[in-house]
Amino acid sequence: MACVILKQQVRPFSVSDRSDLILLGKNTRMTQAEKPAAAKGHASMPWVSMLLAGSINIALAVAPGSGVRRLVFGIVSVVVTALLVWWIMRRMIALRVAQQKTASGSANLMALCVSILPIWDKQIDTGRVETEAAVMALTDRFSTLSQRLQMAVDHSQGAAKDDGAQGIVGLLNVSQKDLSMIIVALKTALEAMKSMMVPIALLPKLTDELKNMALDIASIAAQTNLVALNAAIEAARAGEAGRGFAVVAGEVRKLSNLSAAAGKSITSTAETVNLSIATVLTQAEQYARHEAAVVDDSEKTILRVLSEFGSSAEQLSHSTELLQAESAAIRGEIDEVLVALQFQDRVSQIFSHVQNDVEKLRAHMEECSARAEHGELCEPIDAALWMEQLAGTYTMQQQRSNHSGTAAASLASEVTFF
Amino acid sequence: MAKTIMIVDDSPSLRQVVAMALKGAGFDIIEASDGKVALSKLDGKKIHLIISDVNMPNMDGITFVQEMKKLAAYKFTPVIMLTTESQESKKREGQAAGAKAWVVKPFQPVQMLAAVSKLILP
Repeated sequence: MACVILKQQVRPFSVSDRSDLILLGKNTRMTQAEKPAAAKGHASMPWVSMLLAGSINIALAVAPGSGVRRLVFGIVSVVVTALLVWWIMRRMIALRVAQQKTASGSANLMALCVSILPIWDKQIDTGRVETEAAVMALTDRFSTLSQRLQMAVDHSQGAAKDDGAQGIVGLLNVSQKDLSMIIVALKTALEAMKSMMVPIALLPKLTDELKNMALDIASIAAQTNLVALNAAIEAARAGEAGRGFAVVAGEVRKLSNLSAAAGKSITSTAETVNLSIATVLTQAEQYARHEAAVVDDSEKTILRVLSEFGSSAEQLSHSTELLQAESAAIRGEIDEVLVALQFQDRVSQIFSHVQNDVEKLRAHMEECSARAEHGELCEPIDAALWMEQLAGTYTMQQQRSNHSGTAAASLASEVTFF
Repeated sequence: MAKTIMIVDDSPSLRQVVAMALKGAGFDIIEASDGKVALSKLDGKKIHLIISDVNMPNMDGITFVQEMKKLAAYKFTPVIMLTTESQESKKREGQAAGAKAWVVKPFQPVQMLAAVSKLILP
């Protein structure tokens, strides 16, 4: 826009423009380089010598009084005229130099605008493109980061989850159930063995009864032997008639002796059985105690292992909770990053509008430059209309605020449902 | 089966940001760089929701919504306008064209997901 304003200031100079004349007269100072140009201008003005000669003639012709007075008057008139001419010439030379300077400055400015505006345009475009690429790469990275984080959290949740047999907590629950069942089975087996030992423990009683029965048999056998002995005596006393009876009595004695031997054998066997049962019972009790100790140890070991597992699982579960909390926080941060990354779209739009305006100015300057080459005047810019058209391209409240110079509104997100 | 959302915006980075926010919530994404490209991609496939910018080259968002509403298959597809424009007059234009919501950039992913959940077709 600076170019436009300057362009308007350097419109072709007119002598009738008194204010510009005075302004230039006051402000123009010739440099050493400009002085030869002024001198050249002075030399190329034959009308100055004509004016001076004319003024001398007129002064001499119109001067009143005697010759001396006329001469003095004439000299004074000539000096005044010369000073007047000198002053006018100086102003005109200064004006011409200023005019040449401004015309040259205007041409330079136009050339600069025509050259530099496309470069500005390219620079802005490069900035846009590079920012776009960088933001896309950044978004891509954040996207990957977010996905990996989600995968890690999912995996961790899978490892620690307590549903089903998958996951450490689920595995722990299943193991606890299985191991508890093993302990119950061991205890049941132990109880079954103890139950089995009860009838065995009753066996010594039965063998005692057997021994008593054997003693009864021995007693009966002794009495039978005595009876057989008496019968033999009585048979001897009967003589020939009792001979057959004596044979019977003898057989009865033999039988009673056999019965006594059987009784002794039974007693001996019962004692052996009793001894064996006592040995078995002792061993069985020792074994049962050992088994009970083993089961007790196993139960304690299992409970300890389960407790350690439980502790580990709890720690894992706690770690997972922490990971989930951290993951949620990171997701929140990534959401904020997504908001921040949208700046590129906004910046791109602002740059785009600036680019369009730069291009519009470049086109105008190029046209001015082309016209200047043909000695034509440039179409003056309507600054107010230009500003109005620029304002019409805005899409953001911030742009409008910048344009009007008011305070920028906040960048709060806004959702309106229709 | 994942629902499909079409994103129409001339800024590739903005499309990427919107896609990232929505893919994280399990949606399938179709991208288009302006209204004209978007119309060419409306070839009968089921699209559950459209998110469109307003100011785009070739065909702007308002014209795109007007045109897509003429297509029988997409007549009832809900549209969210996502734009830097916050002027009421523009919003009224969007509403008249058939948009269901107007989101001013920069958007919060949570707000966008809430709007999508509210409007998306079953």
